[in-house]
Amino acid sequence: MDETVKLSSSQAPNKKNNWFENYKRWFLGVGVEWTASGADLLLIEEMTVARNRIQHGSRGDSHGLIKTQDEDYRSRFPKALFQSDLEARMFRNFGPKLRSIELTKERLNRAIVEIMLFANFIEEHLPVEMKYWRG
Amino acid sequence: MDFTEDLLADRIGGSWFRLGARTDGATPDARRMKDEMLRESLLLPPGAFATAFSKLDSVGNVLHNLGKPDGSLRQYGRQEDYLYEPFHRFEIPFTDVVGEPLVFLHEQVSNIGLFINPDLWMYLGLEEKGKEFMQRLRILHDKLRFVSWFFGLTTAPFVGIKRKIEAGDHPYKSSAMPSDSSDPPFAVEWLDADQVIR
Repeated sequence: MDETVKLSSSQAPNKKNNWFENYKRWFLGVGVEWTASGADLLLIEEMTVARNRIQHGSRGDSHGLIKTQDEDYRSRFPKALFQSDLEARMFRNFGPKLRSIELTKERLNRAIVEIMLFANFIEEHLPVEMKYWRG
Repeated sequence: MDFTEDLLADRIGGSWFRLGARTDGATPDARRMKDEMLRESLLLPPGAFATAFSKLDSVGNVLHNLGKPDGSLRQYGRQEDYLYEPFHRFEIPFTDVVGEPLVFLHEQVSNIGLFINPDLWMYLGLEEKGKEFMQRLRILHDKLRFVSWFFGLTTAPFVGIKRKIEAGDHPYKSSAMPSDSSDPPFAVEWLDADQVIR
């Protein structure tokens, strides 16, 4: 995303304070409306949050293999794709509200499909002066 | 076949025209047909289009040498002249129309690609960007393919352990001996394998 932004002479979007929304607005400014991509934007945003929690989040088990959501993740994505199904069923009405982050083959494949849909859309709709040649 | 859309193509944005295009690696559809495109461009002198167009015949017959340097030998009695046609000069056969190829197919030993006439490149002060962008898209695709492959390969043994425990297969056959624990047999192993997969 950053490399694509560099192709334009416009000022890069702010990475702080909801960077996803800032990038979305920046792309709209160069004529690329993410909502028209058909990709699941909520899922793409969740991927970035899940990635941050996996990279920097607290451990959810003794082996340090499982990472959990934080309050922000939970409140922004109440129907998160990468949450433990088992915990969601077990703790629907009681128990801990923060779920373990869980990746399965099916979820990974769905995420990959959405990313490629999103990336291809951006590639197709970038303005020509950003994509090919600049005079 | 209808070429109207290509022949009467609009600008692709601002003052930009698509002067060249080529399909790279089209995949066949269910009928084993490929949708391929090749677009090249030639700059003609003002007023020469009608003459040139009338001699195009089947487009590929006339224009297949676009942008390729050529040479010919002409004899006048006992005198022989060797004529060299540089890549930037393209004579429409059987006319006096001479055009300048702008974007055309360029074949090298290792690859085939579109070549932009350096005059056009320098005149407009162009800077190439698309190649880098397309490379990034390709790298992203390759990385995602690798992630999917890696995930499947590394989690397979643990998926197998869970399946064997659930089915009671070797080496997870439950003992006939009574146990004090209320947990199902091999619960710890199952949970460990489950953690790894997640």
